[in-house]
Amino acid sequence: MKKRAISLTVLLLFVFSILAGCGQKPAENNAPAPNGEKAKLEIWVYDEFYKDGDNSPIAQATKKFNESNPDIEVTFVPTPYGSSSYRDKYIQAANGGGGPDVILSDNVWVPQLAAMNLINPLTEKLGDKKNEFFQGTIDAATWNNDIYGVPFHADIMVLFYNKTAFKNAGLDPEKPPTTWEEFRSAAKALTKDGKYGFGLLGGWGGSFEWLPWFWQNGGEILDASGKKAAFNNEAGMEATEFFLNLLTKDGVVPKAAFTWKSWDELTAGFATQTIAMAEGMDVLLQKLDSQKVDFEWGVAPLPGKKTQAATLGGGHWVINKNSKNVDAAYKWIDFISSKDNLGMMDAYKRTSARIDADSQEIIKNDARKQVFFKAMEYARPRPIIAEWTQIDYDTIQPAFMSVIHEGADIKAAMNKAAEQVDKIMAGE
Amino acid sequence: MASKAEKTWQDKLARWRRRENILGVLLVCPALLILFSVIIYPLLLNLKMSFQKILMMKPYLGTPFTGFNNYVNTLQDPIFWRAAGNTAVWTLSSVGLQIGLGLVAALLLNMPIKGRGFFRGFMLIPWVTPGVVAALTWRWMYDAQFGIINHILLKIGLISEPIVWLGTYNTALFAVIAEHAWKNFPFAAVMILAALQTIPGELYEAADVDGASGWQSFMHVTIPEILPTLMLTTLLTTIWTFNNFDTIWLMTEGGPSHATEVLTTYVYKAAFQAFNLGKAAGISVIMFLMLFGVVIIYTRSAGRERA
Repeated sequence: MKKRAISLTVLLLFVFSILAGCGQKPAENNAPAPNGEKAKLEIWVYDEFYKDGDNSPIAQATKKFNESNPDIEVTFVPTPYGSSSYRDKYIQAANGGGGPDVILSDNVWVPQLAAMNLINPLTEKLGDKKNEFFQGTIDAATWNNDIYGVPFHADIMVLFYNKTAFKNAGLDPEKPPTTWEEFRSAAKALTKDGKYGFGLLGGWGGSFEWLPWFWQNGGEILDASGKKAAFNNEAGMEATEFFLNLLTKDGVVPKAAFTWKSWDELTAGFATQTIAMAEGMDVLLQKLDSQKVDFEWGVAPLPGKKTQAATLGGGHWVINKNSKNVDAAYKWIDFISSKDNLGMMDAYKRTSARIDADSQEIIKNDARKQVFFKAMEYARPRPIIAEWTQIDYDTIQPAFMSVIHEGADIKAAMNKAAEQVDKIMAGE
Repeated sequence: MASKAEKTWQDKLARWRRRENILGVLLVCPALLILFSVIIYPLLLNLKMSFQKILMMKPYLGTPFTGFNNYVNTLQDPIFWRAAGNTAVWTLSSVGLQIGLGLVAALLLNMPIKGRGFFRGFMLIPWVTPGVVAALTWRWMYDAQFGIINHILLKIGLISEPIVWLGTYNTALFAVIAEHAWKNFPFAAVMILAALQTIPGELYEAADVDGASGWQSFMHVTIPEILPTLMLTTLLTTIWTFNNFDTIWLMTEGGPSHATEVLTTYVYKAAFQAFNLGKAAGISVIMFLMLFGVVIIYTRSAGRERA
């Protein structure tokens, strides 16, 4: 009996030790480097930034950093861009106490990661250097009075229009619309024979393209307290009605566009002349440049109303809360976002978030890119609240879709969305 | 004397057996522990979370217990019921199509036709296509402007103007079901084909001698012989289809206006758009109970089958 108990205990101990061994983390290799040991930095970037492996511009630029910082070793981990593939992967890793040291974060994710307490505030480290970036890009990373991300690339929304189609419709191809009414009448004139005046990423309900119109009319998502919805006030409703009417009553948007969710689909729509105007960012310019089209097209600032406004997208460098090499990580971020590396942004055909980005070759030599650059002055990030994605996906997009697909009343739909937003902000 | 010797002998045997039982238990222990740590522990943790309020983006609220709040909120949400209804349509239609198509394909490929090996391999193409590739390809095929499906239907005059398959309330769910059934029917076909090949030819000969028609021998020989496989395949595809997330997420994300919302996309949105982990845990407990019901019905009917 005794013997049996002993053997049982031994066996159980053995089993537990195996299991405990499994649970134990292998010795942390990114512990702070005392002397002679290298600080190891793991950096996540969107896979498009690391397409060519070690020959990718960012890896090439980092070589210089390695030379002057032999005590820091940088490893890039390219990860497919996307909320579920990239952001959620990071959230899971960081919540478990691990994850990379630095990630490139879409600017809408920064307040979310900050609210979840998964990234470090960088206000002090950044100091006066924040003035080297466009205010909008710093705003995008500012949450609860702290700056959580260092701006990297900036994507600005402008108007893309088909000059040939303008000519054919009797419009002046060198005078793209500058007001809402001009835009609407141009879109109507361009809509004929199975072609349409305007197209958008309708699979998202159009909320992405809607924001500039909404802001231009003085609309705000939340009121001054930041706790209550304000987008259904008079100014907001006027903009929303104008915009949604383009999609419904005015009939200037093809039905097919209501399923488009990717830039590829929008590019195809524009390149095949299905749509003559679109709101697009830098990526649309790149995609159209890579296609052979047999018509002339151009870019212009979005038409304005009371004020001018455009949506500002882009990426920020953020540092993991769990990183053991915060100083080394910031050192690298400071290096990569410096003026010396504007050439790297050229290689990516991306616009830097720096105010001196106009010294980039691709901006200096391309009149179209200057349109983008000038729009930086008034470009605004999407609402800088952790709840924005939820508000967008769970209230505004469904409201728009109920108007587009089910013929719901715009006012009623937006009021219902506002009630839901109040609940979300209250944490119910 | 003899009985005493027998008794000690029996004693020894019994003791040895007891010891063997203990050894068995010990040997099973590691497996049980692993099972516990990767399945039962997370399951219990999930159950506990479903009674808590956990908003990841509001960490200052803490994680207080809120009783059945998450369940009540979920069951009061009209979108939950829409998602549950869509899940029923999605699972029943897709599984029905997968098994139906699989049965037809297996019967055809079991016939002595020319190039049978080639067709057997060819049939597997949808199954081996990565899910992302398949979903995105079908998205383009369904596109109202550039899609081949609208192109063909317009050409042969079945429709007079293109249909926005994935963007129309009444067609979106059936469009994603078609993709999913196409993608997954080869599994059912392979399983059924394997079962068909185990049926001895004598059974058909005997049926033939008894004067059974083709249909009769199919109904009374083929079907009973492959029934256990059919049942198992149906159970597996039901579980997989019910739990499928990527097909719908990649094609419609549950839209337009929740027309293709199923429970998996609904729970994903609660967890990773609202970051409401308590509610998400509650929904997944409800989903677990639903699937558990399916499995119980299966084991009951499978048990009856054997008896």
